[in-house]
Amino acid sequence: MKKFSFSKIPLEYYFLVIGLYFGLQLVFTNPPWHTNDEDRHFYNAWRFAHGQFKPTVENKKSGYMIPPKLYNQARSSQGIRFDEKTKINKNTFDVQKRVKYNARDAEYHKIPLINKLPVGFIPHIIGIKIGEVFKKNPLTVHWWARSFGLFTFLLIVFFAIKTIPVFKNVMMLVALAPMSLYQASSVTYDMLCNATTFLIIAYVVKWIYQENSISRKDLLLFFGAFLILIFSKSGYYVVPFLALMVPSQKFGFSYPKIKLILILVFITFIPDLTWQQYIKSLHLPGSGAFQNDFAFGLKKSIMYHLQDIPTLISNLALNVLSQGKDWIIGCIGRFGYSYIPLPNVWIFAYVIILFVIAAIDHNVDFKLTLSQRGISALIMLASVGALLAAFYFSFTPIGAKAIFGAQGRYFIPILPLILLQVIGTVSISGKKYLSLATVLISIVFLYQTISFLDETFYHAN
Amino acid sequence: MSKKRKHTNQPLKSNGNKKDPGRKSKAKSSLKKEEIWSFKNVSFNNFIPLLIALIFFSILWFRPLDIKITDPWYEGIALIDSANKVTEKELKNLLLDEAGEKLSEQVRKHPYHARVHYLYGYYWLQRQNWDSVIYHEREAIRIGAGGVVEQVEFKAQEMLNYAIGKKVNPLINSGNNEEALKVLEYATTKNMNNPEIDRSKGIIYLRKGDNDRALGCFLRYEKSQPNNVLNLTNIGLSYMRKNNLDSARFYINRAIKLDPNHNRAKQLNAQLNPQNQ
Repeated sequence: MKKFSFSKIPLEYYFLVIGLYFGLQLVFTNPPWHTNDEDRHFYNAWRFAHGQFKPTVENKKSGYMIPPKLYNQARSSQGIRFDEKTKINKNTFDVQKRVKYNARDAEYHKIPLINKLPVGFIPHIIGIKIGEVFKKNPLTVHWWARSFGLFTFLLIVFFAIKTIPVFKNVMMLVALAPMSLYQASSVTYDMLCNATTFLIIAYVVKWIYQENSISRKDLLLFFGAFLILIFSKSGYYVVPFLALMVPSQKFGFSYPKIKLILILVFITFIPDLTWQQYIKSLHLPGSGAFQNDFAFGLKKSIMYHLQDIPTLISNLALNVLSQGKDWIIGCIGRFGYSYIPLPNVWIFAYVIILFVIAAIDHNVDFKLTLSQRGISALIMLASVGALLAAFYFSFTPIGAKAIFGAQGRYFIPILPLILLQVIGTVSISGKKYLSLATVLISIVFLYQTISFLDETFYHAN
Repeated sequence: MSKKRKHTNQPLKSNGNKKDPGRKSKAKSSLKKEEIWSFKNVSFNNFIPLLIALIFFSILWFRPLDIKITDPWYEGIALIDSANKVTEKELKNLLLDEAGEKLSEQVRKHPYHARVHYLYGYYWLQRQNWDSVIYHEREAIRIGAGGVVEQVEFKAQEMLNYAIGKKVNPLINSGNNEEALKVLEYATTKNMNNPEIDRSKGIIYLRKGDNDRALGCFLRYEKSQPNNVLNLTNIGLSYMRKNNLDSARFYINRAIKLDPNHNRAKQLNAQLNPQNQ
């Protein structure tokens, strides 16, 4: 009988098994429609699944036609506080599972996010269509949608870990971080955004590492991943520019960096030139203000802050210092609209583990030059800066000091990029057990996460 | 898994690094003890990014600087809260003055923020300047109504209602009906619930002898306050003046049922049913 050797099985297969096992547990343990904005994302996925690309207008407000039974069940799941007194009894799911909706019995509902693109919801749309074949029950269909989101995430990240020649352990730990897997097993376009960003970073690291020229297939997949990313969620435009780290001679065509920049800039504008143009052409009245107690506006806000640039810079820095811990917690494990965080000690430990593994997860063949490190740091800072600036200028009341709406989960796509800054900083031999450690760490933390969520959200009986 | 690159000691051309595996150990061995933590040490140089990252993470996590960031308009509210906690009148006034300066500056800078108007109205509430409360809460509702989250209009309306009562009741009691009516017309906000305006207007119209308008106001008020004895009595009186005695009796009876000792209701009941006396 052959002796089992742990290291003979590539890490991505462990990732797949662990991700599938714990991801499916999250699909069912995370209360229905509990992830941030999941109700609205689900309505959007559902209406796309039923061919409602054009919003319905009623009383000068844009919305969609949704079956009332589906709408009411999703709505009843909102606003639960999940403290000691208010938890869910799992038996209520049995009652909810008996409800059946008729897609033709849809009613108008005013729903925000009307200009959202369908691409970010494609896996969920497939899940909804398949779920409806079995039973047109809101909860069942919701679980199907979540599951298909999870499968897609696992598939893309499996490919990313397979592609990346070094840094595999970090990629796996980032993708299987409690919050990352939680998002992946929810109905949200964040899933596709996170997965494609990981893939983009994996390609860049691969290209830096490889001696040969970059293949056309790789380039197409890279641009394809960026296209999906940009069609899923805006805000991470800077990450693919990491490819500027790759030496020019590897591209196999003239003026590669200039062409690369031009192509990436062009891709960035594709959603604006296509879907957004379609939405604009409909002259929709909007679905009403989501928040109206303060005035918001990109142009006005920029004009206001440009009057005093030193204060703007100091405000951004102060926000990092005052909200940084919350963002770290949110990036590793703060769950749903109830914002319930994992215990601090677990989050602290996970961050330290990420840094340590990032520092040692390399091999002697992978070394970055000073200029490559500089570009990487610049892209990382630009990504973080762009994210914070986007929230400061677009989602924060004009003239406010505190950045409003920035949550830790938004940093998940750029987490590998942040950790890339410390790659190769510690040289140690004996990394034989690194993969084993990665697998064990993932299992321990995800097991703890599931137990914690189960305890937090449900009654003991 | 992708094909593994063969391990080689040859320099990597691809990323521009000349790699010499032996270099680091030689460099290390040639270092003196005091040079281990110096920039001459390659390992230490490599370690710098991790060191910076860990220091930065520690600063964020342990918050040694204890920085709290507050929006300027909430700074004003914090001062009002402090003022409400102190008992010394002079200090209280000083804190309120400072809060007023801060908030008035914010209203000037950001007249488009409903929340800032709402907060400035709260400041004027502390000062018992009812005209200013009415103006700013009305602005808060006008600019800020209709949001799905962080709705400001309902709290602003509550404060507005309170200020209207404080402003209008003395005017009505002193017989300054025209002035009171002007205030009420100005303070009326579209699509918002303010039964107090109807009640006050009803009283003014009743005093002016405009029984139709008065009745309309009292009946609207009744929808939100169905068991208000005085209002039921006023409805009865309005009907009585319009010579609709059955309706008048109906409302007066309801009022007496709720409060058998209500003097005004009892008086009207006596007028409506003299045979019972």
